Amino acid sequence: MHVGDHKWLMIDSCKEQRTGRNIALDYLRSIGVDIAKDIVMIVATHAHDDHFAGIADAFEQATAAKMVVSSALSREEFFVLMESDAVAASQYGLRRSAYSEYRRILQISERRFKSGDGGTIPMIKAMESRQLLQMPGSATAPPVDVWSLSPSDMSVQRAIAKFVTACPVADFPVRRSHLDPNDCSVVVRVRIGDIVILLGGDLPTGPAGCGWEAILASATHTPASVIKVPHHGSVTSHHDRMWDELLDEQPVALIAPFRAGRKRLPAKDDLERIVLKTPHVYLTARTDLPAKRRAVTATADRVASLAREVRDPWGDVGQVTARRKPAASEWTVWTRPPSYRIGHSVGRRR
Amino acid sequence: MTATLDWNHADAATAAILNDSSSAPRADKMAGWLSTLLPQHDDELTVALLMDDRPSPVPATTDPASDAFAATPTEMPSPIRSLRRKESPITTFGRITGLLKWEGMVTNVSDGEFTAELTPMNHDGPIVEADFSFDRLPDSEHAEIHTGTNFYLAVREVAGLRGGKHFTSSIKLRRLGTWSQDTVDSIRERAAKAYRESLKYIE
Repeated sequence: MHVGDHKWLMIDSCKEQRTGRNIALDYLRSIGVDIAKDIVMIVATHAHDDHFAGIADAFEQATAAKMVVSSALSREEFFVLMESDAVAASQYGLRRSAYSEYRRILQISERRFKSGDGGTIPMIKAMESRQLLQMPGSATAPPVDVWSLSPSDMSVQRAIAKFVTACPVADFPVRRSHLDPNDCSVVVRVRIGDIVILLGGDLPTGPAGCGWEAILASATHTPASVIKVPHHGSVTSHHDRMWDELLDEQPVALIAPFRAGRKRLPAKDDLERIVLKTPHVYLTARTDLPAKRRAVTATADRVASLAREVRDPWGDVGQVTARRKPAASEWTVWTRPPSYRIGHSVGRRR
Repeated sequence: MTATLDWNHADAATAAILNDSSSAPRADKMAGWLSTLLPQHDDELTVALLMDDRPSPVPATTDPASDAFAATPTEMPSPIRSLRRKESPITTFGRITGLLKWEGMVTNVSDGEFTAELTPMNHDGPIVEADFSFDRLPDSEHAEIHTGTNFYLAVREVAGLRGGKHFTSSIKLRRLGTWSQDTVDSIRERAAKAYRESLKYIE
Protein backbone atom coordinates (compact mmCIF):
# COMPACT_ATOMS: atom_id res chain seq x y z
CA MET A 1 0.00 0.00 0.00
CA HIS A 2 1.45 3.32 -1.05
CA VAL A 3 0.87 5.85 1.73
CA GLY A 4 2.43 8.86 0.09
CA ASP A 5 5.93 10.25 -0.47
CA HIS A 6 7.06 6.93 -1.99
CA LYS A 7 6.54 5.11 1.29
CA TRP A 8 4.95 1.69 1.30
CA LEU A 9 3.31 -0.71 3.70
CA MET A 10 3.31 -4.41 2.98
CA ILE A 11 0.49 -6.38 4.55
CA ASP A 12 1.25 -10.10 4.27
CA SER A 13 3.23 -11.84 1.58
CA CYS A 14 2.81 -14.70 -0.80
CA LYS A 15 4.77 -16.76 -3.24
CA GLU A 16 3.64 -17.80 -6.68
CA GLN A 17 3.42 -21.53 -6.05
CA ARG A 18 4.68 -22.68 -9.39
CA THR A 19 7.71 -20.39 -9.62
CA GLY A 20 8.42 -19.78 -5.94
CA ARG A 21 8.78 -16.06 -6.58
CA ASN A 22 7.60 -13.43 -4.12
CA ILE A 23 5.17 -11.71 -6.41
CA ALA A 24 4.57 -8.71 -4.14
CA LEU A 25 8.27 -7.83 -4.23
CA ASP A 26 8.42 -8.47 -7.96
CA TYR A 27 5.53 -6.05 -8.48
CA LEU A 28 7.07 -3.35 -6.31
CA ARG A 29 10.39 -3.62 -8.15
CA SER A 30 8.60 -3.44 -11.47
CA ILE A 31 7.16 -0.03 -10.57
CA GLY A 32 10.46 1.32 -9.34
CA VAL A 33 10.09 0.87 -5.59
CA ASP A 34 13.36 0.63 -3.67
CA ILE A 35 12.57 -2.35 -1.47
CA ALA A 36 15.34 -1.56 1.00
CA LYS A 37 14.36 2.05 1.64
CA ASP A 38 10.74 2.59 0.65
CA ILE A 39 8.97 -0.17 2.58
CA VAL A 40 8.50 1.24 6.08
CA MET A 41 6.39 -1.52 7.61
CA ILE A 42 5.56 -5.17 6.96
CA VAL A 43 2.61 -6.73 8.74
CA ALA A 44 2.31 -10.50 9.06
CA THR A 45 -1.38 -10.89 9.83
CA HIS A 46 -1.08 -14.59 10.61
CA ALA A 47 1.00 -17.65 9.77
CA HIS A 48 -0.92 -19.36 7.00
CA ASP A 49 1.08 -19.97 3.84
CA ASP A 50 -1.21 -17.92 1.63
CA HIS A 51 -0.39 -14.88 3.81
CA PHE A 52 2.99 -15.71 5.25
CA ALA A 53 5.06 -17.42 2.57
CA GLY A 54 8.14 -15.40 1.69
CA ILE A 55 7.61 -12.80 4.41
CA ALA A 56 11.02 -13.41 5.95
CA ASP A 57 12.66 -12.78 2.57
CA ALA A 58 10.70 -9.56 2.25
CA PHE A 59 11.76 -8.46 5.73
CA GLU A 60 15.37 -9.28 4.98
CA GLN A 61 15.31 -7.11 1.87
CA ALA A 62 13.27 -4.28 3.35
CA THR A 63 16.01 -3.09 5.66
CA ALA A 64 14.13 0.05 6.67
CA ALA A 65 10.93 -1.76 7.58
CA LYS A 66 9.51 -2.55 10.98
CA MET A 67 8.02 -6.00 11.26
CA VAL A 68 4.60 -6.41 12.86
CA VAL A 69 3.41 -9.78 14.14
CA SER A 70 0.50 -10.91 16.27
CA SER A 71 1.22 -10.46 19.97
CA ALA A 72 0.28 -14.14 20.51
CA LEU A 73 3.47 -15.11 18.72
CA SER A 74 5.72 -13.21 21.09
CA ARG A 75 4.90 -15.43 24.06
CA GLU A 76 7.30 -17.94 25.56
CA GLU A 77 4.91 -20.85 24.91
CA PHE A 78 5.08 -20.10 21.20
CA PHE A 79 8.87 -20.10 21.36
CA VAL A 80 8.70 -23.64 22.78
CA LEU A 81 6.59 -24.71 19.79
CA MET A 82 9.02 -23.08 17.39
CA GLU A 83 11.99 -24.78 18.98
CA SER A 84 10.32 -28.21 19.03
CA ASP A 85 9.36 -27.80 15.39
CA ALA A 86 12.99 -27.02 14.54
CA VAL A 87 14.19 -30.12 16.37
CA ALA A 88 11.59 -32.37 14.71
CA ALA A 89 12.34 -30.95 11.26
CA SER A 90 16.06 -31.37 11.72
CA GLN A 91 15.88 -34.85 13.19
CA TYR A 92 13.41 -36.28 10.71
CA GLY A 93 14.16 -34.28 7.57
CA LEU A 94 10.74 -32.66 7.49
CA ARG A 95 9.83 -29.87 5.15
CA ARG A 96 9.95 -26.26 6.27
CA SER A 97 6.91 -24.92 8.05
CA ALA A 98 5.52 -21.54 8.99
CA TYR A 99 7.50 -21.82 12.24
CA SER A 100 10.74 -21.77 10.26
CA GLU A 101 9.62 -18.59 8.50
CA TYR A 102 8.95 -17.00 11.86
CA ARG A 103 12.31 -18.14 13.25
CA ARG A 104 13.99 -16.32 10.37
CA ILE A 105 12.07 -13.16 11.15
CA LEU A 106 13.34 -13.30 14.73
CA GLN A 107 16.91 -13.93 13.60
CA ILE A 108 16.79 -10.96 11.23
CA SER A 109 15.33 -8.75 13.97
CA GLU A 110 17.94 -9.79 16.50
CA ARG A 111 20.72 -9.18 14.03
CA ARG A 112 19.38 -5.74 13.11
CA PHE A 113 18.94 -4.78 16.74
CA LYS A 114 22.47 -5.80 17.64
CA SER A 115 24.03 -4.14 14.61
CA GLY A 116 22.04 -0.93 15.02
CA ASP A 117 22.28 1.80 17.60
CA GLY A 118 20.21 -0.24 20.06
CA GLY A 119 17.49 2.36 20.00
CA THR A 120 15.59 1.11 16.99
CA ILE A 121 13.35 -1.80 17.79
CA PRO A 122 12.75 -3.75 14.60
CA MET A 123 9.61 -5.69 15.65
CA ILE A 124 6.25 -4.64 17.00
CA LYS A 125 3.55 -6.77 18.60
CA ALA A 126 0.11 -6.15 17.16
CA MET A 127 -2.82 -6.19 19.56
CA GLU A 128 -6.21 -4.56 19.84
CA SER A 129 -6.26 -0.78 19.55
CA ARG A 130 -2.52 -0.31 19.15
CA GLN A 131 -0.98 2.37 16.98
CA LEU A 132 1.71 0.76 14.84
CA LEU A 133 2.90 3.71 12.79
CA GLN A 134 2.41 7.42 12.57
CA MET A 135 3.76 9.58 9.77
CA PRO A 136 3.29 13.32 9.88
CA GLY A 137 2.03 14.90 6.71
CA SER A 138 4.20 16.79 4.27
CA ALA A 139 3.70 19.25 1.46
CA THR A 140 3.09 16.34 -0.87
CA ALA A 141 1.37 13.76 1.33
CA PRO A 142 -1.28 13.74 4.06
CA PRO A 143 -0.58 12.33 7.54
CA VAL A 144 -0.76 8.58 7.97
CA ASP A 145 -1.55 6.43 10.92
CA VAL A 146 -1.71 2.67 11.09
CA TRP A 147 -3.50 0.75 13.82
CA SER A 148 -3.93 -2.88 14.69
CA LEU A 149 -7.45 -3.71 15.87
CA SER A 150 -6.72 -7.32 16.90
CA PRO A 151 -5.94 -9.77 18.42
CA SER A 152 -7.84 -9.13 21.63
CA ASP A 153 -6.45 -10.09 25.03
CA MET A 154 -8.90 -12.96 25.25
CA SER A 155 -7.87 -14.30 21.84
CA VAL A 156 -4.25 -14.26 22.96
CA GLN A 157 -5.08 -16.08 26.19
CA ARG A 158 -6.98 -18.74 24.26
CA ALA A 159 -4.06 -19.10 21.86
CA ILE A 160 -1.59 -19.55 24.71
CA ALA A 161 -3.76 -22.30 26.16
CA LYS A 162 -3.62 -24.09 22.80
CA PHE A 163 0.13 -23.59 22.57
CA VAL A 164 0.56 -25.27 25.95
CA THR A 165 -1.38 -28.35 24.90
CA ALA A 166 0.74 -28.64 21.75
CA CYS A 167 4.10 -28.35 23.51
CA PRO A 168 6.28 -31.48 23.52
CA VAL A 169 5.97 -33.87 26.42
CA ALA A 170 8.46 -36.61 27.24
CA ASP A 171 7.47 -40.10 26.07
CA PHE A 172 4.72 -38.72 23.85
CA PRO A 173 4.84 -38.99 20.05
CA VAL A 174 6.75 -36.38 18.12
CA ARG A 175 4.23 -34.41 16.11
CA ARG A 176 4.27 -31.18 14.24
CA SER A 177 1.78 -28.87 15.82
CA HIS A 178 -0.62 -27.32 13.42
CA LEU A 179 -2.65 -24.79 15.32
CA ASP A 180 -5.05 -22.53 13.48
CA PRO A 181 -3.58 -19.01 13.61
CA ASN A 182 -6.74 -17.29 12.31
CA ASP A 183 -8.01 -16.59 15.84
CA CYS A 184 -5.07 -14.26 16.47
CA SER A 185 -5.02 -12.74 13.02
CA VAL A 186 -4.07 -9.06 12.86
CA VAL A 187 -6.66 -6.64 11.46
CA VAL A 188 -5.03 -3.45 10.19
CA ARG A 189 -6.68 -0.07 9.81
CA VAL A 190 -4.79 2.49 7.73
CA ARG A 191 -5.77 6.12 7.65
CA ILE A 192 -4.24 8.39 5.00
CA GLY A 193 -5.63 11.86 5.45
CA ASP A 194 -9.39 11.31 5.41
CA ILE A 195 -9.22 7.99 3.61
CA VAL A 196 -9.50 4.80 5.64
CA ILE A 197 -8.67 1.29 4.47
CA LEU A 198 -9.47 -1.81 6.49
CA LEU A 199 -7.53 -5.05 5.98
CA GLY A 200 -9.39 -7.90 7.63
CA GLY A 201 -6.74 -10.66 7.69
CA ASP A 202 -8.47 -13.97 8.29
CA LEU A 203 -10.04 -12.95 11.57
CA PRO A 204 -13.10 -15.02 12.47
CA THR A 205 -16.34 -13.61 13.79
CA GLY A 206 -16.03 -14.52 17.45
CA PRO A 207 -16.52 -15.93 20.04
CA ALA A 208 -17.43 -13.19 22.51
CA GLY A 209 -14.36 -11.23 23.46
CA CYS A 210 -12.53 -12.42 20.37
CA GLY A 211 -12.49 -11.83 16.63
CA TRP A 212 -14.77 -9.22 15.08
CA GLU A 213 -16.97 -9.31 18.17
CA ALA A 214 -14.10 -7.83 20.17
CA ILE A 215 -13.27 -5.16 17.58
CA LEU A 216 -16.89 -4.03 17.39
CA ALA A 217 -17.12 -3.86 21.17
CA SER A 218 -14.21 -1.41 21.34
CA ALA A 219 -14.02 2.25 20.30
CA THR A 220 -15.85 3.40 17.21
CA HIS A 221 -13.87 4.10 14.09
CA THR A 222 -14.19 6.27 11.03
CA PRO A 223 -15.71 4.03 8.35
CA ALA A 224 -13.38 2.60 5.73
CA SER A 225 -13.98 2.94 2.01
CA VAL A 226 -11.91 -0.11 1.07
CA ILE A 227 -12.08 -3.51 2.75
CA LYS A 228 -9.85 -6.48 2.18
CA VAL A 229 -12.59 -8.98 2.95
CA PRO A 230 -11.51 -11.30 5.77
CA HIS A 231 -10.85 -14.96 5.22
CA HIS A 232 -11.51 -15.06 1.50
CA GLY A 233 -15.14 -14.06 1.96
CA SER A 234 -15.96 -17.05 4.17
CA VAL A 235 -19.10 -16.93 6.31
CA THR A 236 -16.94 -17.79 9.36
CA SER A 237 -15.50 -14.28 9.18
CA HIS A 238 -18.66 -12.48 8.17
CA HIS A 239 -20.13 -10.04 10.63
CA ASP A 240 -23.02 -7.82 9.54
CA ARG A 241 -22.02 -5.14 12.04
CA MET A 242 -18.55 -4.99 10.50
CA TRP A 243 -20.17 -3.97 7.22
CA ASP A 244 -22.65 -1.62 8.91
CA GLU A 245 -20.38 0.11 11.42
CA LEU A 246 -16.79 -0.13 10.20
CA LEU A 247 -17.32 0.47 6.48
CA ASP A 248 -18.77 3.10 4.21
CA GLU A 249 -21.97 2.37 2.42
CA GLN A 250 -20.92 0.38 -0.64
CA PRO A 251 -17.16 0.18 -0.05
CA VAL A 252 -14.70 -1.32 -2.52
CA ALA A 253 -14.41 -4.96 -1.44
CA LEU A 254 -11.30 -6.91 -2.37
CA ILE A 255 -11.26 -10.69 -2.09
CA ALA A 256 -8.40 -13.13 -2.64
CA PRO A 257 -9.85 -16.60 -3.29
CA PHE A 258 -8.64 -19.77 -1.61
CA ARG A 259 -8.52 -22.85 -3.81
CA ALA A 260 -6.53 -25.36 -1.77
CA GLY A 261 -8.57 -27.89 0.18
CA ARG A 262 -12.01 -29.28 -0.40
CA LYS A 263 -13.91 -26.10 0.29
CA ARG A 264 -13.00 -23.32 -2.06
CA LEU A 265 -13.58 -19.76 -0.99
CA PRO A 266 -15.48 -17.62 -1.60
CA ALA A 267 -18.35 -20.01 -2.19
CA LYS A 268 -21.29 -18.99 -4.36
CA ASP A 269 -23.40 -18.05 -1.38
CA ASP A 270 -20.52 -16.04 0.10
CA LEU A 271 -20.40 -13.93 -3.06
CA GLU A 272 -24.18 -13.54 -3.09
CA ARG A 273 -24.03 -12.30 0.50
CA ILE A 274 -21.19 -9.85 -0.17
CA VAL A 275 -22.70 -8.33 -3.31
CA LEU A 276 -25.77 -7.47 -1.24
CA LYS A 277 -23.47 -5.30 0.87
CA THR A 278 -21.71 -3.58 -2.01
CA PRO A 279 -21.74 -3.76 -5.81
CA HIS A 280 -18.00 -3.04 -5.95
CA VAL A 281 -16.60 -6.52 -5.38
CA TYR A 282 -13.30 -7.57 -6.92
CA LEU A 283 -11.60 -10.95 -6.88
CA THR A 284 -7.92 -11.45 -7.57
CA ALA A 285 -8.57 -14.77 -9.34
CA ARG A 286 -11.28 -17.26 -10.15
CA THR A 287 -12.36 -19.74 -7.50
CA ASP A 288 -12.52 -22.57 -10.06
CA LEU A 289 -9.52 -24.81 -10.31
CA PRO A 290 -7.28 -24.15 -13.29
CA ALA A 291 -7.34 -26.60 -16.19
CA LYS A 292 -5.37 -29.72 -15.36
CA ARG A 293 -1.90 -29.84 -16.75
CA ARG A 294 -0.78 -33.04 -18.39
CA ALA A 295 1.62 -33.74 -15.54
CA VAL A 296 -1.22 -33.48 -13.03
CA THR A 297 -3.36 -35.88 -15.06
CA ALA A 298 -0.47 -38.34 -15.18
CA THR A 299 -0.07 -38.11 -11.40
CA ALA A 300 -3.80 -38.61 -10.95
CA ASP A 301 -3.67 -41.79 -13.05
CA ARG A 302 -0.78 -43.17 -11.02
CA VAL A 303 -2.33 -42.64 -7.59
CA ALA A 304 -5.92 -43.33 -8.63
CA SER A 305 -6.22 -46.49 -6.55
CA LEU A 306 -5.63 -44.52 -3.35
CA ALA A 307 -6.42 -40.88 -4.00
CA ARG A 308 -9.36 -39.00 -5.44
CA GLU A 309 -9.72 -35.56 -6.96
CA VAL A 310 -6.03 -35.11 -7.63
CA ARG A 311 -5.61 -31.46 -8.48
CA ASP A 312 -3.28 -28.59 -8.81
CA PRO A 313 -5.08 -25.75 -7.06
CA TRP A 314 -2.56 -23.08 -7.93
CA GLY A 315 -3.18 -20.98 -10.94
CA ASP A 316 -2.02 -17.66 -12.30
CA VAL A 317 -1.95 -14.74 -9.90
CA GLY A 318 -4.12 -11.76 -10.68
CA GLN A 319 -3.93 -8.24 -9.36
CA VAL A 320 -6.44 -5.63 -8.31
CA THR A 321 -5.21 -2.05 -8.01
CA ALA A 322 -7.26 0.58 -6.22
CA ARG A 323 -6.10 4.18 -6.45
CA ARG A 324 -7.41 7.42 -5.02
CA LYS A 325 -6.00 10.89 -4.71
CA PRO A 326 -6.43 12.46 -1.24
CA ALA A 327 -8.91 15.02 -2.51
CA ALA A 328 -10.83 12.64 -4.76
CA SER A 329 -14.26 11.38 -3.81
CA GLU A 330 -14.00 7.85 -5.09
CA TRP A 331 -11.65 5.04 -5.93
CA THR A 332 -10.49 3.98 -9.36
CA VAL A 333 -9.96 0.26 -9.61
CA TRP A 334 -8.07 -1.72 -12.21
CA THR A 335 -8.01 -5.47 -12.63
CA ARG A 336 -5.28 -7.49 -14.25
CA PRO A 337 -6.43 -10.95 -15.35
CA PRO A 338 -7.32 -13.36 -13.97
CA SER A 339 -8.67 -10.85 -11.43
CA TYR A 340 -12.11 -9.53 -12.20
CA ARG A 341 -15.02 -7.59 -10.86
CA ILE A 342 -18.14 -9.52 -9.94
CA GLY A 343 -20.77 -9.02 -12.59
CA HIS A 344 -18.34 -7.46 -15.03
CA SER A 345 -15.91 -8.82 -17.57
CA VAL A 346 -12.22 -8.60 -16.89
CA GLY A 347 -10.38 -5.33 -17.29
CA ARG A 348 -13.10 -2.73 -16.76
CA ARG A 349 -12.65 0.27 -14.59
CA ARG A 350 -15.04 1.14 -11.83
CA MET B 1 -6.88 -55.89 -4.74
CA THR B 2 -7.31 -59.66 -4.76
CA ALA B 3 -8.42 -61.60 -7.79
CA THR B 4 -11.33 -64.00 -7.51
CA LEU B 5 -10.23 -67.49 -8.39
CA ASP B 6 -12.43 -69.69 -10.52
CA TRP B 7 -12.47 -72.78 -8.36
CA ASN B 8 -14.78 -74.61 -10.74
CA HIS B 9 -12.01 -75.06 -13.23
CA ALA B 10 -9.27 -75.69 -10.71
CA ASP B 11 -9.27 -79.44 -11.05
CA ALA B 12 -9.22 -79.58 -14.82
CA ALA B 13 -6.67 -76.80 -15.15
CA THR B 14 -4.41 -78.27 -12.54
CA ALA B 15 -4.57 -81.71 -14.12
CA ALA B 16 -3.79 -80.19 -17.49
CA ILE B 17 -0.69 -78.43 -16.32
CA LEU B 18 0.54 -81.32 -14.22
CA ASN B 19 0.27 -83.59 -17.25
CA ASP B 20 1.86 -81.10 -19.58
CA SER B 21 4.97 -82.82 -20.76
CA SER B 22 5.92 -80.18 -23.29
CA SER B 23 9.30 -78.56 -23.16
CA ALA B 24 7.82 -75.11 -22.50
CA PRO B 25 9.52 -73.22 -19.66
CA ARG B 26 8.05 -73.81 -16.25
CA ALA B 27 7.09 -70.18 -15.82
CA ASP B 28 5.03 -70.26 -19.00
CA LYS B 29 3.25 -73.38 -17.87
CA MET B 30 2.43 -71.71 -14.58
CA ALA B 31 1.25 -68.62 -16.37
CA GLY B 32 -1.03 -70.73 -18.50
CA TRP B 33 -2.47 -72.40 -15.46
CA LEU B 34 -3.08 -69.03 -13.80
CA SER B 35 -4.74 -67.55 -16.82
CA THR B 36 -7.36 -70.30 -16.88
CA LEU B 37 -8.21 -69.70 -13.28
CA LEU B 38 -8.08 -65.95 -12.99
CA PRO B 39 -10.45 -63.59 -14.71
CA GLN B 40 -8.81 -60.65 -16.38
CA HIS B 41 -8.54 -57.44 -14.36
CA ASP B 42 -7.56 -54.04 -15.58
CA ASP B 43 -6.47 -52.82 -12.20
CA GLU B 44 -3.93 -54.24 -9.87
CA LEU B 45 -3.80 -57.95 -9.57
CA THR B 46 -1.74 -59.75 -7.06
CA VAL B 47 -1.45 -63.42 -6.48
CA ALA B 48 0.97 -65.35 -4.38
CA LEU B 49 2.23 -68.77 -5.05
CA LEU B 50 4.23 -70.79 -2.74
CA MET B 51 6.51 -73.04 -4.63
CA ASP B 52 9.46 -75.00 -3.65
CA ASP B 53 11.42 -77.87 -5.04
CA ARG B 54 10.61 -80.36 -2.35
CA PRO B 55 8.07 -83.07 -3.11
CA SER B 56 4.95 -82.69 -1.08
CA PRO B 57 2.57 -85.45 -0.03
CA VAL B 58 -0.79 -83.93 -0.99
CA PRO B 59 -3.84 -86.14 -0.39
CA ALA B 60 -5.42 -87.14 -3.70
CA THR B 61 -8.94 -86.40 -2.52
CA THR B 62 -8.24 -82.84 -1.39
CA ASP B 63 -11.14 -80.43 -2.03
CA PRO B 64 -10.19 -77.79 -4.64
CA ALA B 65 -11.29 -75.07 -2.23
CA SER B 66 -8.73 -76.17 0.33
CA ASP B 67 -5.16 -75.04 0.53
CA ALA B 68 -3.73 -77.95 -1.36
CA PHE B 69 -4.39 -79.65 -4.66
CA ALA B 70 -4.47 -83.20 -5.73
CA ALA B 71 -1.30 -83.98 -7.55
CA THR B 72 0.51 -86.75 -9.24
CA PRO B 73 4.24 -86.94 -9.60
CA THR B 74 5.40 -85.29 -12.79
CA GLU B 75 8.67 -84.32 -14.29
CA MET B 76 8.12 -80.81 -12.99
CA PRO B 77 10.18 -79.99 -9.91
CA SER B 78 7.17 -79.91 -7.64
CA PRO B 79 3.47 -79.34 -7.68
CA ILE B 80 1.94 -76.17 -6.39
CA ARG B 81 1.54 -76.59 -2.68
CA SER B 82 -1.05 -74.01 -1.94
CA LEU B 83 -2.72 -70.81 -3.02
CA ARG B 84 -3.25 -68.06 -0.46
CA ARG B 85 -6.81 -67.39 0.55
CA LYS B 86 -8.15 -64.20 -0.83
CA GLU B 87 -8.29 -62.48 2.55
CA SER B 88 -4.67 -63.29 3.32
CA PRO B 89 -1.90 -60.79 2.69
CA ILE B 90 -0.38 -61.50 -0.68
CA THR B 91 2.75 -60.47 -2.45
CA THR B 92 3.16 -59.42 -6.00
CA PHE B 93 4.05 -62.14 -8.48
CA GLY B 94 6.14 -60.38 -11.03
CA ARG B 95 9.03 -58.01 -11.28
CA ILE B 96 8.99 -54.45 -9.94
CA THR B 97 10.05 -52.29 -12.83
CA GLY B 98 9.31 -48.86 -11.44
CA LEU B 99 8.74 -47.03 -8.19
CA LEU B 100 7.26 -43.58 -7.74
CA LYS B 101 7.21 -42.01 -4.30
CA TRP B 102 5.52 -38.94 -2.90
CA GLU B 103 5.75 -37.34 0.48
CA GLY B 104 2.32 -36.45 1.70
CA MET B 105 1.34 -33.88 4.29
CA VAL B 106 -2.19 -33.74 5.58
CA THR B 107 -3.69 -30.28 5.19
CA ASN B 108 -7.27 -30.90 6.21
CA VAL B 109 -9.30 -33.60 7.92
CA SER B 110 -13.05 -33.93 7.63
CA ASP B 111 -15.61 -36.68 8.05
CA GLY B 112 -14.28 -39.87 6.61
CA GLU B 113 -11.55 -38.30 4.52
CA PHE B 114 -8.47 -36.14 4.56
CA THR B 115 -6.79 -33.85 2.08
CA ALA B 116 -3.06 -33.90 1.59
CA GLU B 117 -0.41 -32.18 -0.42
CA LEU B 118 1.74 -34.64 -2.36
CA THR B 119 5.31 -33.76 -3.24
CA PRO B 120 7.27 -36.06 -5.58
CA MET B 121 10.33 -37.53 -3.90
CA ASN B 122 12.15 -39.47 -6.59
CA HIS B 123 10.88 -38.11 -9.87
CA ASP B 124 9.98 -34.90 -11.64
CA GLY B 125 6.37 -34.04 -11.24
CA PRO B 126 4.01 -31.38 -9.92
CA ILE B 127 3.07 -30.89 -6.31
CA VAL B 128 -0.61 -31.73 -6.17
CA GLU B 129 -3.44 -31.94 -3.73
CA ALA B 130 -5.58 -35.02 -3.35
CA ASP B 131 -8.31 -36.43 -1.17
CA PHE B 132 -8.03 -39.74 0.62
CA SER B 133 -10.67 -41.83 2.29
CA PHE B 134 -9.89 -43.13 5.76
CA ASP B 135 -10.83 -46.56 4.37
CA ARG B 136 -7.41 -46.63 2.75
CA LEU B 137 -5.75 -46.88 6.13
CA PRO B 138 -5.99 -49.51 8.84
CA ASP B 139 -8.41 -48.57 11.61
CA SER B 140 -5.53 -48.38 14.06
CA GLU B 141 -4.00 -45.47 12.13
CA HIS B 142 -7.07 -43.27 11.82
CA ALA B 143 -6.37 -41.48 15.08
CA GLU B 144 -2.94 -40.47 13.81
CA ILE B 145 -4.29 -38.50 10.89
CA HIS B 146 -4.47 -34.79 11.63
CA THR B 147 -3.29 -31.62 9.96
CA GLY B 148 0.48 -31.82 9.60
CA THR B 149 0.73 -35.62 9.59
CA ASN B 150 3.37 -36.84 7.17
CA PHE B 151 3.16 -40.00 5.12
CA TYR B 152 4.71 -41.68 2.12
CA LEU B 153 2.70 -42.74 -0.89
CA ALA B 154 4.37 -45.29 -3.17
CA VAL B 155 3.26 -46.62 -6.52
CA ARG B 156 5.08 -49.65 -7.86
CA GLU B 157 4.96 -50.72 -11.46
CA VAL B 158 5.03 -54.51 -11.75
CA ALA B 159 5.76 -56.35 -14.96
CA GLY B 160 3.48 -59.39 -15.06
CA LEU B 161 4.37 -62.89 -16.23
CA ARG B 162 2.65 -62.59 -19.55
CA GLY B 163 4.05 -59.20 -20.41
CA GLY B 164 1.32 -57.07 -18.87
CA LYS B 165 1.88 -54.22 -16.47
CA HIS B 166 0.19 -53.65 -13.16
CA PHE B 167 0.45 -51.08 -10.43
CA THR B 168 0.36 -51.53 -6.70
CA SER B 169 0.20 -48.60 -4.32
CA SER B 170 0.49 -48.04 -0.60
CA ILE B 171 0.33 -45.35 2.05
CA LYS B 172 2.71 -45.53 4.96
CA LEU B 173 2.53 -43.07 7.83
CA ARG B 174 5.75 -41.53 9.00
CA ARG B 175 6.28 -42.24 12.62
CA LEU B 176 8.56 -39.73 14.18
CA GLY B 177 9.31 -41.44 17.45
CA THR B 178 8.72 -40.03 20.91
CA TRP B 179 10.21 -37.11 22.74
CA SER B 180 12.85 -37.93 25.31
CA GLN B 181 12.99 -36.01 28.57
CA ASP B 182 16.45 -34.70 27.71
CA THR B 183 15.23 -33.34 24.38
CA VAL B 184 12.18 -31.72 25.96
CA ASP B 185 14.34 -30.11 28.64
CA SER B 186 16.80 -28.73 26.10
CA ILE B 187 13.96 -27.43 23.92
CA ARG B 188 12.47 -25.55 26.87
CA GLU B 189 15.83 -24.16 27.87
CA ARG B 190 16.60 -22.85 24.39
CA ALA B 191 13.09 -21.47 24.01
CA ALA B 192 13.31 -19.63 27.32
CA LYS B 193 16.63 -18.08 26.32
CA ALA B 194 15.34 -17.03 22.90
CA TYR B 195 12.24 -15.54 24.50
CA ARG B 196 14.31 -13.49 26.97
CA GLU B 197 16.45 -12.19 24.10
CA SER B 198 13.37 -11.31 22.06
CA LEU B 199 12.17 -8.95 24.78
CA LYS B 200 14.96 -6.61 23.70
CA TYR B 201 13.97 -6.34 20.07
CA ILE B 202 10.19 -6.73 20.06
CA GLU B 203 8.14 -3.83 21.40
